[in-house]
Amino acid sequence: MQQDAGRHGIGRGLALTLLLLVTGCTASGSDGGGRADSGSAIPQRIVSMNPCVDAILKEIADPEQVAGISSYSQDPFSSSVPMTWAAQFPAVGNEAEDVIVRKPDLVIAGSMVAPQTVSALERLNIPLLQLAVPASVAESKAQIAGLATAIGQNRRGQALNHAIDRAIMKSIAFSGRGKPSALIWHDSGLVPGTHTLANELLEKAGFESASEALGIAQWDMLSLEELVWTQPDVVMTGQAGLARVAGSGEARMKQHPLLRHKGIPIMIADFPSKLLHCGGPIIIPTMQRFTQIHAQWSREHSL
Amino acid sequence: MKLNGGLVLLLALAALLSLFVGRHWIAPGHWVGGDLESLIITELRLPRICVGMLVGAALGTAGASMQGYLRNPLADPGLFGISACAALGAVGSLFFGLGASPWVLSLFALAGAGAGTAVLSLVAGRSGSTIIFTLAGVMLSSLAAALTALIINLAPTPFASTEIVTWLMGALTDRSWDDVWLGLPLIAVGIAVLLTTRRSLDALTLGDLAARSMGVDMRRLQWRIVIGLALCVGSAVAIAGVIGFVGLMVPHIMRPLVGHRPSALLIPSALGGALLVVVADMVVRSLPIVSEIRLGVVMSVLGAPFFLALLLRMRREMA
Repeated sequence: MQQDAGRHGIGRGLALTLLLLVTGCTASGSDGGGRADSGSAIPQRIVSMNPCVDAILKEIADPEQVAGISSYSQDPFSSSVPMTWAAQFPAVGNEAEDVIVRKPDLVIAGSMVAPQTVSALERLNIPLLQLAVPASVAESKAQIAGLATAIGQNRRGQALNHAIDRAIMKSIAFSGRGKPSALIWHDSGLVPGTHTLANELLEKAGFESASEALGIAQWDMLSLEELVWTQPDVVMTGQAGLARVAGSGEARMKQHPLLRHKGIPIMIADFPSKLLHCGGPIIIPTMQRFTQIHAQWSREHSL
Repeated sequence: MKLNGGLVLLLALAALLSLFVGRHWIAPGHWVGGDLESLIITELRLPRICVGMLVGAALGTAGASMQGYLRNPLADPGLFGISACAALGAVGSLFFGLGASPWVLSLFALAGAGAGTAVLSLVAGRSGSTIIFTLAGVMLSSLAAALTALIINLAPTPFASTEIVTWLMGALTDRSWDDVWLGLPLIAVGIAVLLTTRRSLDALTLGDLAARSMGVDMRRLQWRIVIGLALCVGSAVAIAGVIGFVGLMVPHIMRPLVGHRPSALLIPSALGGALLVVVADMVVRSLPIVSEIRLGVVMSVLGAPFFLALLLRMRREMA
């Protein structure tokens, strides 16, 4: 069942499409500070173009510092912050014009914002901080630290990183009871691979990632046949796509009769897609959900 | 009859062979028995093959009927926007929260295909003008694609966008018996309706006036074509997404074997379509990669050069 390592390439196109579409929906950061042009003064009119940046700002920024947040954060389907918090701020779209009218002294965006938009902001000398997609906890924490420095909130940034560490340690402490193999498998068969933040968190929570056995390195599409053949102990599914939008109950992938068959000994657990959207503070509820699923598996196996 | 018998035999062989094909070898001894291997055969590969047959038969018959009715060898439900209209209906029903039940989704796909066929029929009529028909098809296809793109544009999450895009590419991956039971009655009725047009389509090859003089009720014929195409294409899109070029390629492959009478082409096109989709899906499944190439993509890769060759042949004939 071990797949050769090159096999994960094809679905990468789809996954890349997803990530491109995620421009506004996935927090990012390959290094701590990203690319910041902000001056030494503490910014007082921060405009975020990324809902995952919004999630970090909610934790570390003064509300008075925030002059605008991503429009995705005001949509309950894509937001990673409470609607009540998001409602305090004007929403900005992906266009430079939206941003400029908020008169920002710092703009924070994802790495996949349109080059034309970046160029427009640069032409107007608006300081811009761009963050890339975090592929690990370390990258995500470095991103928080860098962002905290950029907005003059080092103490809160450190506190958030400590909270993330505590959530991970708590989950690691719990995970002593067994090490079930697991796979996150969302609508359309989308699976995070070994070099993703979601996979690292999965392993830290005491699961053995089935992505490795399948040779999935980034994000890929996995068929049901491949999934049942691999037979992980736990499959975490969520309503990520249209089924969720339509409010049509459980994820469509989960409705396949084969997954309900008694002969398939796979535990199916709900895993909200929002937990896949962002790193940063979202790591904390993600670890909590992993711990709950691990506990459920342990109970079912009397561990 | 010999041809149809041969096609049925080939289809049965392809279906049997298809049961063997997958990323994991499952010996026939394990095909029944209730273990994991048997479940993969009975709950995944077998319904997938059945869906492939249904979709291929529906699209093959739809293509042959369209080409006969419009007397246009380039007519194809995918190429001229009917599949795109069906997809728009299905995606729209999901996006607006009306597609909770697969039956509702199918209903919208059928309505989309029906509306597309009706618009095409109204705009192009049966004037015999290839140019008007082609332009009407391009318009319809562009409009449906634009509205689908609008839905993708407005999708609230990137996951929703990905799901639409993935679904639009067309595939038989992970289909279940539910999909078979959903598509079977609708496609069977659709093909049956199209088969009732056989004599009229033959008469139509002599021209509108001749067909009328032979007692063909053109209005009734048009409605039967619209209903039949809507049922076939709408159902195929509802259970497998957009799989193009089957309706274009299969009648052309079959025509030299059965002659130019549309009535003789319908059943071989249904069987040939089923065979083509099952074989193409088998190729898709046999590629050694974790993530499958979508069947709709493969059919387009095969179909586009076929379409080009067809155009070049027509140009030679016109010269």
